[in-house]
Amino acid sequence: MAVESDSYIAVGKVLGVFGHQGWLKILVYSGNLDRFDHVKVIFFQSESGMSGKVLSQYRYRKPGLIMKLRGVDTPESARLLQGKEIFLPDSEQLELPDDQYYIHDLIGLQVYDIEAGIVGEVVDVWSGGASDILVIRAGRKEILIPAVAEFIKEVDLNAGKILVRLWEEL
Amino acid sequence: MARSLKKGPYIDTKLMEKVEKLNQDNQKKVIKTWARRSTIPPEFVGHTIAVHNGIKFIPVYVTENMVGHKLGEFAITRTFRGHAGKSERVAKIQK
Repeated sequence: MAVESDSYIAVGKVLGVFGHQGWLKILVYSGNLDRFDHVKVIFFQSESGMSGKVLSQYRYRKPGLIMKLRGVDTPESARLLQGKEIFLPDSEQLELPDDQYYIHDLIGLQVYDIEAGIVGEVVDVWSGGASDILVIRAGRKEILIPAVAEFIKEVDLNAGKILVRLWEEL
Repeated sequence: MARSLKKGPYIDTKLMEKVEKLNQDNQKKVIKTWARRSTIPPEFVGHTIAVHNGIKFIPVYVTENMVGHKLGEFAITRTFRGHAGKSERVAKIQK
């Protein structure tokens, strides 16, 4: 099964091999370990496009999951998938709560200050630390804004803009 | 080894003075600091402190559950480059 990769979203990555029966250790990007509850086929990117593999079993195992795919029955065949990202079709994308956004949706949005008008464009989002941080490119300057309600007043994905309140010296 | 209880937590005095001044004036302003080793006291809650990570100042909005931790814990020094394209990584707007 080989198809175009445009309409797919990366949901995880194969970290390594587990055991002697071809199980794979998986890092789940969303952190939601129930992510694969209703998933039957997962996709890997290959030279010819996306190729699907049937997900036969999975279990929780720190730090993420271990997974068994149909046709991958030996550590050697599992090792061929090591380091590869796992994709799912866009139609299987999870719905998020109101205060959460996919990072790829935020990148490219225009940022406006409540008082000063346009600030710049979101070029990156850093995770880790106290909170997520939006990296805004404002001309040659880079502004970092914590993803906290105190600063981020509104995110409008349809209009492609984020309304913020910038503090002095940010 | 843990710091002696007799001494109390280490809090950068200059930073503390700046925060206390902001609290007195009832102002909100980002304070830049290199004092990653400073413990966060309750007075810092609600302020944003730009903590140096060796390259740039990372803005840290201090909340109640950060009290007692060090400032440096919240400004990571290593950047993780994730998936460049469309992925299920999520950003959360904290209340």
